[in-house]
Amino acid sequence: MDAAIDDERFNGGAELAFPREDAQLVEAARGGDRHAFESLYSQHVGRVFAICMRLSANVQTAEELTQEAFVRAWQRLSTFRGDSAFATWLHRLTVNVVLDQQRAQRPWFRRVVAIDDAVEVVASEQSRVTSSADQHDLESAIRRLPRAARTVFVLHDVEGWQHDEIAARTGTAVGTSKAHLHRARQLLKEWLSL
Amino acid sequence: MNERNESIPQLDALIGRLPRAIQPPRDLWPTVNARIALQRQWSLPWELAVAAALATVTVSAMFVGFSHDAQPRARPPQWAYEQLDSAYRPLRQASLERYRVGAARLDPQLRATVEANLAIIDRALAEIRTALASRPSDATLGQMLQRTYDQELAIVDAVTPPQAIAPDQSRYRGAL
Repeated sequence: MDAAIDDERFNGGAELAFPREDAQLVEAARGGDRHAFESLYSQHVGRVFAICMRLSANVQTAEELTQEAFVRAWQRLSTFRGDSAFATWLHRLTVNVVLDQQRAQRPWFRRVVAIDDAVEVVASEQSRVTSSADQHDLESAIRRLPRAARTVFVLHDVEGWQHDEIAARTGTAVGTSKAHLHRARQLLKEWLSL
Repeated sequence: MNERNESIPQLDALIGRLPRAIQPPRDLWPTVNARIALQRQWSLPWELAVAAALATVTVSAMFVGFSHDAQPRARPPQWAYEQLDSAYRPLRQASLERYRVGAARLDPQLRATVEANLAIIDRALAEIRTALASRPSDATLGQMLQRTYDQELAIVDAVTPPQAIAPDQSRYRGAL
């Protein structure tokens, strides 16, 4: 079953507010209007990139995943029934894109992204002043978490998913999801001296 | 309700203050637009019909002994990758020129790492283009080409960022 399609039904009541503007844009985009889809992109790219960035812990990968999420959204607009907010549907689809990508990384791609530690330090040092220290520390600490713990932490504590949803999507047991969350929170507590 | 297996109020407070949105450091729309344009091109029934007709003519001609080179071929896929190349060419030129100018100011170790990665990307691009020459309609190769271009741009942006960074992009970099 297509997880992205199923997601909407699963979380149908979570965000009842359906911005009229989104509805109109979705309808136009379904008809092939790329300008309408560009407007949807502009409204939602920040949230989508935030999800990709926190789950992948890698700027380049997050950019690619963001693009892939919007391409997939375009392909699947016809499956969006409007029962929930477009944002909810898009965010679920984005998580699916990230998790799919994590399973399918290619060896040469891993070699290239090994540079990230170096370049992200550069980027961070260049603009540290624009972010509060606490937020910066937490974002950095999230990136340091082991992948499984980071995935559960971001989905549960940041995005508000339930353990059963996370377990179903990641193919693990609910208990495993809870264990990963516990580990993530303990590591963050230690690293941030909370 | 979110289940918490241990309450850490200070952590929860920090999580609550995380920005919901983070703007990407560069405009990702041109690539999205190019990719959905390609898909739309192939999703239009009349264009699929034309492509099918061209393919039919080509195959039929081969069976009756016509010269293969003289027959029309399904050109849209080739055109699609040319369009992708065209979309990226100015971005890549500007990016690599910026790197050429700014590379001298980089830490030598970082510069060596960047250039080693750019060399890997160059080799990957060459391999992808070689593969595309024999399989121009392979969508996976097209996606790999686009992703590789994106990687090249992202690496150069990270070490020699464009001078004009919008305020929201600065916020993003600070959040790293």
